Amino acid sequence: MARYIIQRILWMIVVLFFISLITFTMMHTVPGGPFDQEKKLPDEIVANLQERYNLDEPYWKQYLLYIDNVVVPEITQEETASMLDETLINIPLPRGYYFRWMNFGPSYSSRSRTVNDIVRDQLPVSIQLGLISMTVALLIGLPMGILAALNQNTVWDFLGMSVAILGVSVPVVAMGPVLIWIFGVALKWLPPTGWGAQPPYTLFFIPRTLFSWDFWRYTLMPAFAVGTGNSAIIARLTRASLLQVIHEDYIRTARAKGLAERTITTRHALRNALIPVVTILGPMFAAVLTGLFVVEQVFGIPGLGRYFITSITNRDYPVIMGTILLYAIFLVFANVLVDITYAWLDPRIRYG
Amino acid sequence: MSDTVYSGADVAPSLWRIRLKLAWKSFKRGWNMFRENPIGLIGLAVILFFGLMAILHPILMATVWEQRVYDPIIGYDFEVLAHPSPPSWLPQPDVPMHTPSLRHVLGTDPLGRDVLSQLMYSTQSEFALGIMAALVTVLIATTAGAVAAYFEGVVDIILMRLADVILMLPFIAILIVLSSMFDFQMIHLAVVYGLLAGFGGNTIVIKSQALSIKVKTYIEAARIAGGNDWHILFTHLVPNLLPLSFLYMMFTVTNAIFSEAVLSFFGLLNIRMSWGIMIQTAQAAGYLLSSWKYWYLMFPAGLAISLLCSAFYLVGRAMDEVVNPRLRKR
Repeated sequence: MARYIIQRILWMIVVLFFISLITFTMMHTVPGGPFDQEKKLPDEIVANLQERYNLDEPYWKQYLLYIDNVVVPEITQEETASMLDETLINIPLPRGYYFRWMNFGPSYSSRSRTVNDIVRDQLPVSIQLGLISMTVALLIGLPMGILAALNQNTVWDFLGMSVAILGVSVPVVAMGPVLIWIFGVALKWLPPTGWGAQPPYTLFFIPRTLFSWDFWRYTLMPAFAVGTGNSAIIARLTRASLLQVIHEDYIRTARAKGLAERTITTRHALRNALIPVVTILGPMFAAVLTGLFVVEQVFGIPGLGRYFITSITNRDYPVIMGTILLYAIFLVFANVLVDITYAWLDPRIRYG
Repeated sequence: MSDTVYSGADVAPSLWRIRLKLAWKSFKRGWNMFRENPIGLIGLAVILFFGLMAILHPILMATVWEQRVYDPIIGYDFEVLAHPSPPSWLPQPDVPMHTPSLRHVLGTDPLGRDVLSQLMYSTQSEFALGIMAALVTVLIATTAGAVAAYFEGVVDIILMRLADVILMLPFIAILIVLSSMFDFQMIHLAVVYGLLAGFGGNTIVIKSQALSIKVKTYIEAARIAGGNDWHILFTHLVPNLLPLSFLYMMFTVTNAIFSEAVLSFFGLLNIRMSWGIMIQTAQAAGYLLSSWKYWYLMFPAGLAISLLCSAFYLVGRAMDEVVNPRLRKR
């Protein structure tokens, strides 16, 4: 088991290097740099800027410098390396030392904020939205899937699965405005745009206003818009998995023992049927978190997805690189976690 | 020396005909199974409806619709007071005495173009995008999956590791970056999407299916009869993978249309008109979120995406029951 975990983690690191290399090459093969403006800058200024951001070095050296900054942790005594706080992980150690890791560098378009500042401001909002969306997806999807499986080939089953298919097929681009029209403009129940939490956050992403309606009223519509699509996936998976389980022999045994139908469903069937559903939650959360661009744009939520679009228009390469790398870390981590979970559940994979 | 020496040329046409007959037979068997499922038929009907819309647009432009007014990209209706205008059979906000007409069945957009014309015109490109992306995906996934399963060893490891990497790419973010840096048109999106989807998850699925076919006796028989690797791959392995490939093709179409909507929404694609562009036009002019009054700007395109995607999804599900014996009811 330990060997398998080490194998997967090593592979995870290789994948991340590969993704960073792809992104870096992609970004540096296109003509036009971040300092190309309508009014041409004087050559000396461009030269200075390029030196400041290491843009005058050859590409391979730029890449190595970037990787060095991101990957290699530093232990320093200084308060901060510069005026700007450039590292994402910054832990104070005893005797005035600091453990600094993941330096994503400066932002080209924002003079006062580094990539790290941007991530620290925007990512928590995306995580909040992603977590609430997942909760909505579970709250809708699980009951729907269970209901459909227990009443297989009845009206309930048909209805539930039709709703699921529609949920998968309605894009957020269409769902968002309709929700805003109904609940934000016509009924005026919920604020149409905005977000109800500001930094600082406790534990990186928990807002101080967690228990107030002020926070939740902003989250309901976007979470629903994202959640329905995923609830459909959860519903389908729950249905399929539960259908497979209730035809197993041990369910028949339980029934033959004379157990109540309710006990059989909750204790014997559901507990086993939910294993695939639980394992998909990790990758699903990573996928949701890295795909929030449209919903954040439509609902005006200050998350990382929305900032990513801004940095695309600004050609803010370090922000683009940093965001993609962070997203890749989430995705890779979630997938490796599932692999390890499966290996733990099923020994055949471990030794396969 | 006997006279009955069969050369390849004598045998080939009949063999070809037999193969065609067999394919037709298995298609008919599949179709009969597919036909029993109302879900698949509903999906197919919706797809046919959209196909009809796509075909009807050039015909309408040539006959009924005046080019100047109804062109989906550069048309403008001077006889309507204010654009955007709601469907012309509904009361108009600026006209006190309104006689309902069918001049603009779905209204006009902020630039004075007919929404129905745009909707129908875009259907063509959505179909082209979806089917092209799906074809690229199927081509790559089937070849890569079959090759990985058949040859094993280094080829298998390389292809599977590649699939692993592509699976873990932040898909939409990469598409956004690519489309913002390069001049992306529909065909580019289709090819890039097909590449990413083909080498990613689909390869893994197809490979697992190919592994189960590889151990069948007819593959062994072909090898004993002296067939070389490529012959076995493309005449025995790949044809048996195609049903599953086409199933995954259905889901690729849906996802490709979705990503087109996302990229168009951010204005990153260099295309003149699509369902995503229609929504983006409404958004760029500030009508998308302002009020329910302008529902006709977003609703048709949003509904069209939802309907066409669910139709492909339904057909995919129905095909799933035909292709996967495990899911059959009997």
